[in-house]
Amino acid sequence: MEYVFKANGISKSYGKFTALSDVNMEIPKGAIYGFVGKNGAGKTTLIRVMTGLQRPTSGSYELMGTKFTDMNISKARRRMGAVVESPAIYLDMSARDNLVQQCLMLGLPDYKCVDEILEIVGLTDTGKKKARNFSLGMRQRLGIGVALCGSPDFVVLDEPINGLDPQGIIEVRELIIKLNRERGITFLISSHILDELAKVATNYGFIDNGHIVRQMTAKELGDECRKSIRMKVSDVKLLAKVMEEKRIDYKIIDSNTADVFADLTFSEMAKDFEKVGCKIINMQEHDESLEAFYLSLLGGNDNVQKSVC
Amino acid sequence: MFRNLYADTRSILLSRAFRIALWAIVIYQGFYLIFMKCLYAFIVGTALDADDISFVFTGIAAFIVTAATLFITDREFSNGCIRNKLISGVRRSDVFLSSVCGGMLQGAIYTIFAFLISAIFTMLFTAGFIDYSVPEVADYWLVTTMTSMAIGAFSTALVLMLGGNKLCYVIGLLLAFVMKVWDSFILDKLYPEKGSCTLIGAKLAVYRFVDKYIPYSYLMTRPHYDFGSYIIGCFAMVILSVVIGLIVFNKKELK
Repeated sequence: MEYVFKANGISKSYGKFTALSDVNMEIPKGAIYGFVGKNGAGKTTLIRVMTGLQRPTSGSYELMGTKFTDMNISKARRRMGAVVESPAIYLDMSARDNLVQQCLMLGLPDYKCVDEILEIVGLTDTGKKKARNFSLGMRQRLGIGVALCGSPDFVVLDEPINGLDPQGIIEVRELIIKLNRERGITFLISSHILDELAKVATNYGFIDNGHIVRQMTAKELGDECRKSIRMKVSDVKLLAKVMEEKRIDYKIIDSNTADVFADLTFSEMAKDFEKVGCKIINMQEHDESLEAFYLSLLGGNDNVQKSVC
Repeated sequence: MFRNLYADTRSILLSRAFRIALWAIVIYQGFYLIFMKCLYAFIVGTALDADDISFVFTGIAAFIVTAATLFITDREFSNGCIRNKLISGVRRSDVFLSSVCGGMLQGAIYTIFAFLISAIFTMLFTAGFIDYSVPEVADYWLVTTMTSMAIGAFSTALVLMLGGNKLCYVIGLLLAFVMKVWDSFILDKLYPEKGSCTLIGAKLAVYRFVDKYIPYSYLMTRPHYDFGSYIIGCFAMVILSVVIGLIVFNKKELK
């Protein structure tokens, strides 16, 4: 698999405080990578390291296959756009002027992309209005527009929906999905608003106290979060046989326990199990939300906003 | 570096702070002209000399240039535009050098603008120069322009070195103020109105050095050293700002 970003044992310390510790992380090309962690977990620190604003204390990383110490890292960074913390825009300029400014800085031969980007981010009708008079959502979209100049392959968005109203959140979400699908842009979106991430992310990375706790695809997470019945039986192999016959999805936990992904009643189950000689010891409904999954991974509920898988 | 410099110049020219600084120069010179006109008309009773109003900008140049360059560069930091340049693959040294060049450019523009306003006021409202010849006027403005450029470079480097910390305003403006007060004192000691200079030894050397090679002091009075001294002073200030600034900025952990 091709990765746009690959971290190998990155650590970052500020004096005695360790913000990142032995971080290993891969962002597959074409993914929308949801980077989840509570405030102070190390999300923004890793983004700062990734974007070259700060250097790792130890470890290394590759951006588009280029090692960060390589002389060509600047070229790799030109294929990257980012909105770190707040959108990087000149408040005294219009949306168009801001995009032209970025094109100039990137040394693009012309400004053909400006109109296209204005349309993508929905700011074509802002005319000469200065960015200082934009709403928060418009500024955020302009920040994303600036990040899109030069047709980047990889865009990093740090807390992109913080402070946005519901309409702004929908706009940014739709924009991300559109860019990912139509242009194949890989996104890294850091957030602790799980509900929103769940609507766009194809991959997840969970960070806590500077450690990557787990990385998984949205499908894997979906499986973890699916509504299931956790069954304790005398022999899990017999359970597997029944489930395969009935074409019901299941997941073996241990020699006696399995999660069955179906909405079945005890009486329905009992008949089938009796036929094969499998004894049900215990069964209970198991419904893990993304929030619950997150909490079980990170062991806390600070700063996590509600979410449903 | 040059495309970045072009982009930086564009952002400076389009910024509101830049226009406000230009307006501040016009208003200050305008009010000073009105004040001096009234003074000459009602108290002195003679026509206004150009000598009295032409170089009024030099009195505030250090403050105007420092405040404007600090503000514009600091805004680039707080808006995330410096951060964005680095993320977009612009090298740190290029970001630093183009910003410092932008600061120097601002210093030059403010001074040239002040000169143009002053020239218009001189032609329209004064009886001409009494104590200055045309080359002397040109020299004075040239030294002021070079000094403003050096101060612009220093102020910009200061913001970049401090990573957009608001402390840069305190340091930059306090330095401009302290140098103004100290330079007045030094001028009094070196060129007393009555009698001759009584300073000797290290004190004399230090005072003379400040008067001759520290650009802030060039704004205190008309040029009285050879032109080379002024070039050395301004050039040294720019070089020191660039060298120290580059070392610090290259190692700076940005947020």
